[in-house]
Amino acid sequence: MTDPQVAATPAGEINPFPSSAVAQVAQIGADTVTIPTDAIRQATAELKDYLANTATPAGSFGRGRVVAIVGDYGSGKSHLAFHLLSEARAEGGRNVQGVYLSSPPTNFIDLYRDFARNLYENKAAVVEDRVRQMYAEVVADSLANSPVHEPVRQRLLDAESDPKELVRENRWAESIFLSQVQERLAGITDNRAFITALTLLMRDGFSDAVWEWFQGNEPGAALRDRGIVQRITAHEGTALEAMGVFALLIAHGRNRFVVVIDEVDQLLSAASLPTDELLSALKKLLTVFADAGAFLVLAGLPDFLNTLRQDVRERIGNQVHMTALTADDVVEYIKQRQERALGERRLQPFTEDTVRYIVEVANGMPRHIVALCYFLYRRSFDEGVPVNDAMVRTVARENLYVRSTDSMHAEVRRVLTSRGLTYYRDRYVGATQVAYYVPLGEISEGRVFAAVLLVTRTLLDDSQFDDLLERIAGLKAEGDHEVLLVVVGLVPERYQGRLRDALGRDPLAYDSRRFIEQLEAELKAMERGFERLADRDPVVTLLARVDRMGQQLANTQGLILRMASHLDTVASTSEQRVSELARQLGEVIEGSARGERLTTPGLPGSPAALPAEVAGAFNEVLGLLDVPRRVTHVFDLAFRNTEDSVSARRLLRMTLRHEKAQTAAGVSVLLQELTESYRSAVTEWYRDLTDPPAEDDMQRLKEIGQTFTLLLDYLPTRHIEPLADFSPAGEDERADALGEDLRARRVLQTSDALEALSGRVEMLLPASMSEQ
Amino acid sequence: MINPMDIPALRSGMAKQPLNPVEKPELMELFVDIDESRAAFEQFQRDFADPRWLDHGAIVVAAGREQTGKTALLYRCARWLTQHLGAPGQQVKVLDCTRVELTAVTSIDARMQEVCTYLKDELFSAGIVIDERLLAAESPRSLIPRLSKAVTPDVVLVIVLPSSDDLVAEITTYAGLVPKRVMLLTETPYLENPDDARVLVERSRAVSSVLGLGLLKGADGDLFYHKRRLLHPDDADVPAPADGTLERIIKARDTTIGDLQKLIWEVYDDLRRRNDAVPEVTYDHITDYYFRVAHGGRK
Repeated sequence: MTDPQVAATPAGEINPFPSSAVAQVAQIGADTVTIPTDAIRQATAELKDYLANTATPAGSFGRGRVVAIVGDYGSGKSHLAFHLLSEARAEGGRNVQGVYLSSPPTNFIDLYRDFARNLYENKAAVVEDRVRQMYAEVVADSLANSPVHEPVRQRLLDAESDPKELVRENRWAESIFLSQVQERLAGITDNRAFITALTLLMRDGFSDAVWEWFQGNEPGAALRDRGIVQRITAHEGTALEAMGVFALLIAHGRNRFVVVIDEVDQLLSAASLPTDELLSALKKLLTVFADAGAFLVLAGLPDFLNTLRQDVRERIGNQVHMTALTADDVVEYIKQRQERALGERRLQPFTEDTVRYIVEVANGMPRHIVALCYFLYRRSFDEGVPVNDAMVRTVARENLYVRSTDSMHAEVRRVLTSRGLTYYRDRYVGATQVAYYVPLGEISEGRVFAAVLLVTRTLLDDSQFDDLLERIAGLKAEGDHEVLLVVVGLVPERYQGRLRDALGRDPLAYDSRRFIEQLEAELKAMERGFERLADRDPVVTLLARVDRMGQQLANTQGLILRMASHLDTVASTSEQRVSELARQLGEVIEGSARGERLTTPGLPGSPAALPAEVAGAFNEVLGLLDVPRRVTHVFDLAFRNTEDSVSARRLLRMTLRHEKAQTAAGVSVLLQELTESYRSAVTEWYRDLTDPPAEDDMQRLKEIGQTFTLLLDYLPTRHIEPLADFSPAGEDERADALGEDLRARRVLQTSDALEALSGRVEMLLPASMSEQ
Repeated sequence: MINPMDIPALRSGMAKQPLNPVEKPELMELFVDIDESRAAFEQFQRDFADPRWLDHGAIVVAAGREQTGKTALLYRCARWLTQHLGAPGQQVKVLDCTRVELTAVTSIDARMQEVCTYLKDELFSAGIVIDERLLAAESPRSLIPRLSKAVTPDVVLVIVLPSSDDLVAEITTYAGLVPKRVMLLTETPYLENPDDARVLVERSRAVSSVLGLGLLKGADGDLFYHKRRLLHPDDADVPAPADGTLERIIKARDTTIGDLQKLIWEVYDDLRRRNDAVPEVTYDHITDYYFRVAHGGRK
């Protein structure tokens, strides 16, 4: 279970539950609650055993472990992974290093880049520290027989003095010591380039060049002159070898190294390599880490283990399966959270019965349970009543799977369009409304055969289920179509059998990773069924197919034309922005010429403007929300006298009268204002700092973020869709499926960016300040 | 009480600049012929006693770890050559490029470029260039091979190059460029074994010589101390190191001439500042000094 942050209502009432139940490594902290389920106990025990086993001598192979954590979405895999990393740090201190690799890379080279970037961010603590340790040992050894140098030697061995500095100050033989460091490194790897590069880290001025190369870039001249000529990322082989070298170095001697690769299933499904080669690469990765003495955690969906070859699976030791939370677990979780946040260990406003119902509705899935707790607590507070079953149902309906529903519709439209199928939304078949009606062709004169798609959310109670069965029965009675049921959410086990009987096939549970594939397979089967059913001339069947192919082609051409015209819009919008920037720059220059002070130092030497990364994060979100500017642009066009003006006016006439567009404009403005205010609050916080931020300051920053997240919850981001892609260029296609698809994607992107904003700010701001 | 290690341009016991008798001939008296440096210098004298090297040019490499006196040795060789070239009518012009500011991070090409720019300035101000086209040369690759034809015929150029650091391939590049009547003197701390350095220059058409410098031997300590002590005959207060003390220091760890000079200077400086009148300097004095002030390598 994950709970990175606690949200405060503006009135100051604390919501003890985190608003985002997606685990984020930067946010795992002291206020995180981890319920020790079997999976957590098992994995933690394995880790502790690894950490305790320090007796194994340096460089001895085979002391590493590979552990797999498997479970469905939201079952707490990432949380467990973070829990292991934080346990490792707490147990081992300086001698333990951890790396978490997320944002699933598509191949091993990207995985390496991720790994190297991660190391770079902590370079002083991880890689350089290990080499420095060797350097200190080498220098200390040279002093071993000299009693006069005993204090110096001792300080070196205790890491109290820096060997690099000591050698420089005394003008000792750096060349000799470094060649001895090289000899030690040769005990770890026989890769000369790495030995040279790692040693150069101990010389002045080389760090940047070496890290450039470590991160997968071409070696610079200083490195090429020293025999390093190849990019690490030139091949998957070199990238894998490099990871092995780092692992060996970091886990060297009494040190320990914990590496987590999350969402490993995506790496396996997205990699560009042919399966055999890919699996061999993975096998090498596992071998390399295990031999290096690292603790490698692979987290993924349950079926990732099944896709592995036997010889690869053999390399994985313990397999930890995530289990559903029980009502007792959740009761304990609620009590602990409230104790942490409110200082009172209590279950209210929940009861044991409502907790049981929550667990049932969420199928025991931690991510949903945490989200339900958050929304239920808020609703209970707003309404002033304890949580009850009806409230659980309402909250589940309103909040669970909302995003998935949007994505599901986007994907259905994408599949139908790419197959060249025409479809009708929300159409009645007899007395039953269906989400999609997709005619597949004529069986005979006037008789159309169609595929119909019913969509439902999690089935929460019997009456909902009965309604659904009735609708299916109604459709079946109409004939001449096949029914496909898409469930966004959960189908409780007790309903599954009866649903299958009623439909004549399994319902399709929406799962973003497989949905497109599954839907395509279902549609293909339906098309075949139709062809068999229509006992007719094969030429006619063929013609129907050719017709669809023509439609597919037209859709593709349409998309290409659309993209070209979008590029034009981008160009013209960019020009506008450039001139706007030039204007602002002009003002700034003018201001500075007047001797105005543009920056007010907060931290000594730091400008009041936010650091570039943080400002970038805000700008990115504000850019996505910039609906008013896009609308203004179209208004401006409407008043001109060009070809574009005609389409601009038509677009405005078509759009403005719709209430949805007006809502979209309102929501956009509110979101923009909210974000601007959040930015002002963060800027003010930053400007008021006189010293590096203390704990209190960080707490205040967190509270500012919580207020933003909380208010964000009340603004329905998805309502901006009608204006999400507002430009005359897209005018003709706005109504069709491709236009809808583009807008839906933009909405998802915006909503993702908004949700992640406070987390990003809280992570980037302290990091960029420590760099100054 | 004077410090017997006091020599010009010394700070905290460490020379700011290597001894350079080319610039200041009076510094010659500070050279102490301890074992290895004497052997290296004598080898140079043997290798270049015969002026026929002038017909081929020469490349000289001083190899040995930091603080073994490589640069000072090269200056000493250059100075010897000014007096013992053995070619009537020819005079030696020493061009010192060690002042070119180079860092190890700079690439070989860029380093050589810097040296080239500096050399052109030196040649120009020495007024020995007879072919102005030389000054248009943009890299040592075009400059050095032309030196013999573009410089006054009665001048023999001895060029002291900056240390090649770990970029020893640079030495091979220079070795391939040397023309007649030019000697390049270069060094690296990254090769201790003279044989490794010989490999770098063996394919050069110029006469090559590798001078190896290494660690002090037990007896070098007293030799060094007493030779320096003689430079201050009037000060009777200076206590001598007790028998075997310097030898013990030298044998305890790998010690170079630079290390020893620094150590003796610091210990005597400490005695002077503490006004400690001791009859002799013992191993215990040195240990005591280090325990007091040498924590973490900082004084």
